[in-house]
Parts: sequence; structure tokens; C-alpha cells
Amino acid sequence: MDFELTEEQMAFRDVIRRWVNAEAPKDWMRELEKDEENYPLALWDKIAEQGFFGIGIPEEWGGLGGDVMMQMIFAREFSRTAGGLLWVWGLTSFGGAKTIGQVGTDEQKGRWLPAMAEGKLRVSLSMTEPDGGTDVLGAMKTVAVKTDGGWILNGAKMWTTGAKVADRLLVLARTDKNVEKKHQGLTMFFVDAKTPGITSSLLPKLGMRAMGSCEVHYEDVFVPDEDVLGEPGKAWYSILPTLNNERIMVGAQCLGAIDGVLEDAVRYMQERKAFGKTIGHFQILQHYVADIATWQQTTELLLYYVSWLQSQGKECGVQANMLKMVATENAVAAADLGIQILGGMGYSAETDMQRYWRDHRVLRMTPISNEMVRNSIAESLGLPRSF
Amino acid sequence: MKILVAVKRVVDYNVKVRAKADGSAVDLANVKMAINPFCEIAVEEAVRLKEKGIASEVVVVSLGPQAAQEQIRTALALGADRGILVQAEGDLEPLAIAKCLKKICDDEQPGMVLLGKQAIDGDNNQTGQMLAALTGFAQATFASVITVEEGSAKVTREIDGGLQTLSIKLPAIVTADLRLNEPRYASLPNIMKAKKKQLDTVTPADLGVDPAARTKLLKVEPPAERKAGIKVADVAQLVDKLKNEAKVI
Repeated sequence: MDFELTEEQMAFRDVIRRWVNAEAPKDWMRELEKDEENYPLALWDKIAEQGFFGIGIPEEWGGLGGDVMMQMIFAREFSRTAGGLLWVWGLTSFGGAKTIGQVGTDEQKGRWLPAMAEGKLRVSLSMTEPDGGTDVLGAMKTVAVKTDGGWILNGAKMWTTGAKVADRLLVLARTDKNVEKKHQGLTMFFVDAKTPGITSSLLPKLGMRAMGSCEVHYEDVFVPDEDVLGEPGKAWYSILPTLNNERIMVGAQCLGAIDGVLEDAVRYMQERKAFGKTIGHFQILQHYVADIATWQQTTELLLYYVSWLQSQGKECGVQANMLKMVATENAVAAADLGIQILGGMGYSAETDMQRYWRDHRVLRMTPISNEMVRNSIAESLGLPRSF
Repeated sequence: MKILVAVKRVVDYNVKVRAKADGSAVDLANVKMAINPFCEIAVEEAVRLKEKGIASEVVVVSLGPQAAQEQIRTALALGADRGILVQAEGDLEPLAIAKCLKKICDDEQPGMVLLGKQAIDGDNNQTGQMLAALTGFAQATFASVITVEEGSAKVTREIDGGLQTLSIKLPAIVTADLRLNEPRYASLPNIMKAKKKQLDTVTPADLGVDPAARTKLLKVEPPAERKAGIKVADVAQLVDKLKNEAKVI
């Protein structure tokens, strides 16, 4: 067994860490995140400047190359300061590019991937609907009907993050109602966000504020045939292979947040004084950071293991779900203890603890709730489906 | 023109260094190591000269333990073409390093040797100058601008009280100061390519150099802890304290 990153992975990690410290420090991320009304375009430009949107996009399509391990390394290092603003990078470079890489034709890849790698095309994911998140398929009412040269899209989507600044929206819609199972008859559209009939309104929320999550309405939106991703009616089968990677990215984001929490907590304990000594002398606080460090280690082990399974092409659905659950619960617990260690300062908008807590609290529910994760882990043990 | 760049493996500048409890050395156990920042600037300058078509090849040399390969790979990822590791354990003194580099200059015949002005561990600021003496090459230290011309180079140096511009004949030794450039972030494809670039390993003995130390390190200790400051109520009190307590005015 070898738990070490390779020389290249370590070198890449060092480069990203240096870039994050110099170009995307915590205090700047904190300022950006607060601003609900404005998407952090300056951060987008910084990422584009270094070509980081190309991580995971093959070099033949204008990207930097790199597998899921490299994406994981980037996500961990970046979220150490950026927290939920990681998705400024992730929605396009990971969410959008992964799907196009999996199901896009060569013509579509040529049309979109180089622009995405360069940071010239922003993607938002438009999947969840007002009537349901966990039961996304049962709640889906957005429909697309075939017309001459394309499709007419109608419906509404919730939590379409970054919709107001997106160039393209990845929309899942029902194109066939006469199907046996709910996951059949679905089609994925890569919709030009400037098409008439699309309107969006901001949904203010607890964390990841500047990311601008929106409710988006599609009213008689025409989508040309060449913007359909994959085979019509079979979208669900093209989403499934991206789910493990999504769990891995969430795991990496949470681990990065734990890294950020731990370093802030330890530094504060070494500086802050109470009762005549630094608070790092107090056993109860030492136990708190010991717990955070242990969560960091267990999350890292599971993250590396699942990333390794995935990069080797091995089955890892159950483990990816376990990672998602462990990482998200650890990140929120770590940030919660972090707030406790910093006391009033931890609750203050002038420090990052509250931001780590707010940004990651949502990940216990999304992209899949941890309750659903437990259902599926139990099911993998041979028990009946419970929902 | 071939450019030779010397790089040193040092404790990462972000690390707060600690002396060993017995005062025998700096504690390097589990400490993150990195390329010396001034050396990285030297590598960046060489790569830029290559990108401008002035340099034809950039060769990176490091002297140190086997792990110093990591710093050579870092330089290769920034755009250098090949590396040479002079593998030697223990502390190497500037003169031994300069002698090894002199032998490599004899073999490689570079048009310019770029070094950091000093390393952030020993702060010796000697290797470049010693190498110039040993090779007989012209030297320009503390460079903040390098302009290569036909058979010569103009080098702007950061000196006390201002800037000085020298014209030097090539081949020359140039040491990099902080403001010469801002090194790039190595790109992922270049990190991947760095592994495949040629890296040769030799020893000081192969180069005919005896690396034995000529000085003896007596003690390493942390600087005295700074005493807590005080707050003064107003300017009058400040002036009074400066005059009567600190006795500086």
C-alpha cells in the first residue's frame, strides 16, 4: 500500500497552494462571498488567467489534462480559502465539462470545451425543480417538445447557481411521458442562456451567497438540435457516470474546508489569551482540535481511497456515497467546533469560521441528502429499498 | 546560448524555522522544503530568455541530497530543459558548491550562469561571486534587469542608494535579486512533462571536488524573544519615553 501522492501530484499541489495563498486568500474570499447581489467575476478572471478551468479537460480540447486525482487536489487546496466559492470553478470546469466530455459529440466538444478551458464560457446546472430535490425525477415537470430543427422547452428550475451570469445552462427535461420508469424519457439540453423566454430571480440563502442561486423559468425556449447532449430520452444514463466524481469533488471541498478550519483554530489558540495564558493551554480546546484533526485524517483517507478506485476504473458507488456523508458531516462539525473555539470571533463576519459553517451546511443535503446516502448504503447490504 | 542555473533546496519560506533542542542545527524533521526563492527567480529569467529566443537551452543544477531532485523537477516544470544533481549529503559550503559549478561550467560551456543572489537558509551571498573568481567570467550581482546583447549583457543592479547598470562580457555570472521578475506558476502539463526530462546525477568526487567543510558550526539558537510593547497616551509621552527611557532622541 502506498498512501503518498506521486511526485507530480505533490508538485501540482504545491503550485496550487502557492497560487491560493497569493491570489485567493481567505480575507478576499470572505469579502466576495458576502456580496449576494454580485457574482465574483474577479475571482473567475483570476482562475482563467492561470488556465485552471482546463484542469480535467483533455489537452486535445484545449485543457490542461489531469484526472480526477488532479481535480481533487485543486478542489481541496482552493476550498481551503474559497469554501463554497470553489464552485465558481467547479460548475463549469467540473459540472459542465465533465458532462460534455462524457456525452458530447466531437463537434460539440470542439464548440464548447476549448472555450470552457479558457474561461470564456460559464455554465450553470439547472436540474432541481420547485416541487422536489431528493425526488428530482418524481418532481420533474419541465418538458421539451420536438419541433422543426429543435425543441421547445417549458418549466421552472430551482437552485440554478450562477444563472444570472451563465452563458450556458445545463437543463434536464422530460421529453417522453409514456415511459415505464421515471428515469426514462429524459433529455439533457445545453441551452444558450441568452435565448428568449429565460428569466431568473435570485434566491437569497444561508451560505455561498455570492454564487447567486436562482429560480429559472423557461417559457417556450427554443433549443436547436445541435445543443442536445447525448441521445434524447436517455439522459439519466449519461448523468450516472458523473455522480461518483461529484461525490469526490464534494469530499475534496469539505476536506479543504477542514484544512482551513484547523489552521485558523490552532493559530487562534496560539495567540488568544485568557486567564493569563494562551487558550491553547486549555485541555478542552486541545481536545476540540484533536477531534478536528482526526476528522481531517479520516476524510482524507476515504477521499484518497475513493479517488484511487475511480481513477483505476473500479466500482466505487457505495464508497463514494460514504465519502460524501463522512466529509460533509465532518466539515460542518469541524466548522461548528471552530466557531466554539473562536467564541464571539467565530460568530463574527470578520473571521472565516462562520463562512465555513454556512457554506458547507448545505452539503449535508446536496447534491444528495445524507439520509438518501444512508438509504443507498443500507440497500447495498442487501436490505430492501426504503423509499 | 546555453544558460546554466543553479538552484538550492531550502526550507520553504512559509515555514517558521526552529532550532533543534540541543542547538546543533535547524530542525529539518518533517519540514516542507522548496526551491530557494531567489533561485526560482533565476530559473524564471532563464526561461524567459529562452522564450525570447536568446537562450537555446536551460540547464538546472542543484547540489544536495537525493531529495533535491524535487527542486530540479520544479525548475523543469517552470520550463528548464534538463537537470544535473550533484548528490552530496550534509551541509555544503559556498566554496565547495562554486568548485563543483566551475567543473560543470567547463563541461557545459554556458554563455551565462544565473544564480540566486543568496539562499534564504544560510544567507551567505557567496556562491556566485566565488564562481566568477574560479571561472574568470564577468560578474553582475543583485540583478533587477538583464538585457542580453551581442556577446555582452547589460545588467541593472540593486545597490545601496539606487541602481547601477553594468555592461559585462559573456560568458558571465549573474545573480538574481527579488525584483528581477515574478516567477510563473508551473502549469499542469509542464509538471507532467518535467518527469520525462533528462536528469543526470553526479557526485562531487566525480567532479574532482572535496566537499569537506572548512568551517565548524558551533551553535544554532532562535533569536531572543521580542518584549511586549507599550501603548502611550499622546505624542508628548512618546517623545518623553524616546528621550528618557529609550534614549534614542
